[in-house]
Amino acid sequence: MYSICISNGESVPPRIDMWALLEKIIGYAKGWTEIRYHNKLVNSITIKKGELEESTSIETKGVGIRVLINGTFGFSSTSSIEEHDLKSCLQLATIAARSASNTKIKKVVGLQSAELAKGEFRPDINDPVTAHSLEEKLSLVQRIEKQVRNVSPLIKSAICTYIESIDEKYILTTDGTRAHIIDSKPEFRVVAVATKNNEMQIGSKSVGVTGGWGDLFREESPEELAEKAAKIAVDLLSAKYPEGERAWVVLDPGLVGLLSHEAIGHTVEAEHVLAGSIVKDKVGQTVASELITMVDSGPSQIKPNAGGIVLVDDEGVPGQKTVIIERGVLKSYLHNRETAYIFGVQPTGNARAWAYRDEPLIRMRNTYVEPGEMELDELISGIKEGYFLKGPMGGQADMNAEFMFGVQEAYRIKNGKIGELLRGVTISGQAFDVLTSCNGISKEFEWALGSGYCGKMQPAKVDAGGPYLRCKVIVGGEQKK
Amino acid sequence: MRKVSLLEICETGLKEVLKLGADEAEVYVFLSKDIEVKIQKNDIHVASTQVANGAGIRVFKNKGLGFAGITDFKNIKDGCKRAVELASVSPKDEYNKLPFPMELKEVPALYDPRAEEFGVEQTLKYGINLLREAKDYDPRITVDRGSFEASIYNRAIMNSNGIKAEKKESIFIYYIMGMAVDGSAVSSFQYEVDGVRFVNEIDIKMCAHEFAKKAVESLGATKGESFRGKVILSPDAVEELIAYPIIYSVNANNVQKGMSKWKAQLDTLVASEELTIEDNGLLPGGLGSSTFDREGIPHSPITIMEAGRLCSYMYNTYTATKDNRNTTGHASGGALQLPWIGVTNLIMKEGKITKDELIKGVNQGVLVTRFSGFPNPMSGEFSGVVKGGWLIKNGELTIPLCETLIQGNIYELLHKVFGVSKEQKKAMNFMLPWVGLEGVSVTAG
Repeated sequence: MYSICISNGESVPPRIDMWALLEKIIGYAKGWTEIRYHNKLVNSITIKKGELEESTSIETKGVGIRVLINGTFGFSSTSSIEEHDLKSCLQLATIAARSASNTKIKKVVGLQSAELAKGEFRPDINDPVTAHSLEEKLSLVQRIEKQVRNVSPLIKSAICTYIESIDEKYILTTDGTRAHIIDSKPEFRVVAVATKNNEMQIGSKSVGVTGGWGDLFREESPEELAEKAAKIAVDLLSAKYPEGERAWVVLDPGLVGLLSHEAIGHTVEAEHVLAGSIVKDKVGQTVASELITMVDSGPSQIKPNAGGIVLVDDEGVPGQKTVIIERGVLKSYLHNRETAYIFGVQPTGNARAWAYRDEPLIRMRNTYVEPGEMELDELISGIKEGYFLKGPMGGQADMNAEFMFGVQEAYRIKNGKIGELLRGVTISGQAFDVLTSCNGISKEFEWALGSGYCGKMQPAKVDAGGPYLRCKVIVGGEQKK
Repeated sequence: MRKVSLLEICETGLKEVLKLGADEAEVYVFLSKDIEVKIQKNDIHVASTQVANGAGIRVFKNKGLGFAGITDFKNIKDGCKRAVELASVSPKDEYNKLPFPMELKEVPALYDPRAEEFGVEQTLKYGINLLREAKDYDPRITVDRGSFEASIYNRAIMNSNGIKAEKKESIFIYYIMGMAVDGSAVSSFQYEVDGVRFVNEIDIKMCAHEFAKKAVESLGATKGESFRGKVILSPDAVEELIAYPIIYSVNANNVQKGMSKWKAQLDTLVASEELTIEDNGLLPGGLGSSTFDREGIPHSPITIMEAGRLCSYMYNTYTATKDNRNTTGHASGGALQLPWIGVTNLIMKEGKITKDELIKGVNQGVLVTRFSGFPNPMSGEFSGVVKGGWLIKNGELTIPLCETLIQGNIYELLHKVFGVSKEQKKAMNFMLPWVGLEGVSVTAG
């Protein structure tokens, strides 16, 4: 039987000097080593149809150790922060690397050097979430959930959720990283369920930021989110299906963000490029309309408090602005230190791990298209027959950049005017073809996916957004015969 | 310091929360040993070996709910304090209560002692084989990523009503994903995943070849035709388009919260008579099987649907109390989650004709190997992209498809099943056949 050790009686372990402990452990390292202490506290409250569905506080705390020996990575983790357990964890990672090195075909030749982070890093936080009581947060969630159900008698059910994720990390590497990172990412979601004649439709609105309580509702109040979610659900009850066709559309910042992240961003993650993604060997080539400049950035750009802010990545590389596509030309892939070495470029600060148990992977942060010079009205008035599409409802894409996104609100455009609302709309296409078809970009800019998570073997908090964008896509819909 | 068992940790937590003023409490603890080899960009990427653990403390105080999760057992008393604090400010819910002990029966074949012998070297062998089998199948295969993981999973539960249980299980999970690349042509992304309990059940070759076959076959895909008509869903597509909406709709919590299409639909026809679906958490060796559920209760095998007639919802203690009935033992989730309601081993019964006969009966249609999309489980509406699909003409698979979308409402289409195959595919905790649906909108880009 497995068994573990616990101290007898003490409910709180004695406070320890984390730097001193981790310095001691890294001193035992035999090759390149990265040690990451990570404490992730996630507090969550959900009210569903007037009842408390969830009030939880989950703390995942421990140390992940990654070593590079004989050109091969080994990884191990422990939830203990006792010195002997950490030494044993380092030893297990070392054994794993040595064993794997006997079978690895292409050895890791090197890790790209970089100006590695030293010091303390924390984002701008306006009014920390920890300064607000549990009662206040619970009361807000209860009030907003009730408000949604009161918008219309057709709203039969609702869900409201508040989640705050507070992270603290210490990252050390044998080549110099000494970073202490503190982060705070709250989010708020509202879902309305409208029912009529055994038909059900949902409307949802959400917001997520890197920051504090004062940042979360800066753009829209919780009451506004509730009203909008309820209205969407009710309006969709009487909406019709579109006819499936390839059509001109205007995408809102949420769908532009999803296109940037899901359909383009994953294809330019360097390990996917090495495995043969569609953009392999295409740096320097034109891949989109010259109106398109696409960026993935650790710090928030254009507007503050993006939900995926990463000031220092989990290999100790400072977060930075990485231009993926500049005026239609592919400029850069997204790298960790290993792939940056292979490509002979600087690492871009994209190595991220979700929790102490996870090894860092190449992940996006805040991915967006830079705004243009047109007004939204101009974009719409330039379409004779098409659609105005708002609100992403999830998406998937392949390494060949073929994507599928659900759309919450789809309005028909006829002769440059917005018309009826349609339901059940999905868009698809090849993302680079779609961006090549782009012939208009608006001045407006929004971060739109701050409450979203990217799933690539482990979750990652990301954001994405952009302006409104006019392009051609396939709209999935009903065929009459 | 001394070594303690998982049940002792449960007991420590339980005593603490009751001392802090909880009326009822449950402590659920796990400890796992995981050895994993990850594949990335056609090579071994990293080997890892980890011991993971966690405890979930669920508390009711004045019928208010609180839950805390921790990964450091030394902090269990801190977790207990947080759970009680949360419960103290939570609104009262009269249905909040914990279950009482029931007789637990051993489910056979959930633990293979040979799993204890697994080290990094042995795990590496399986990982390398997964990669080699895929590459050897066809040189155009490129493996984006994959993994082989061997785990031994121990869990224990105690609650203030006297539930006390402990169990050890073994599990081997492996997956592979990527594409086929031929010159400038890149196939659609494909994947294959499976999991087993016993070393001698591991079938790396089958997993790798299935993945490679799907990827190679989708090379050279082209646009098809737009029409409204028949599609045949592969078991993978059945899982996405049929199984998940059904699992959602028979979740008693969704039924009670007005979020299920099948509220008050028990004993009515909700699908074609061709469809019979069961869920059995006591299936010997099943990946979703266990001796007790997340609340310490034995699973009750249920028939969800028999010949299209809705037979049962899935319950945990909370939802069963609300409906004044017994739980079906479907409390699900890990130690760091509140128990929710989940499926165990879902089995869709085989049909009367072969997969080939199903295809032969279609004049114009699409075979959907994989569906990329998000069916709305509440309304049943779906619209998404066909991956690795084939255009069917006059009973033959003709061309592989790309940029093809299908659309419909799954709850309406469940009444329009034109055939279910004799063949079934087991993948993880699902056993599903090929299913033919009529009246689906197909849009070719």
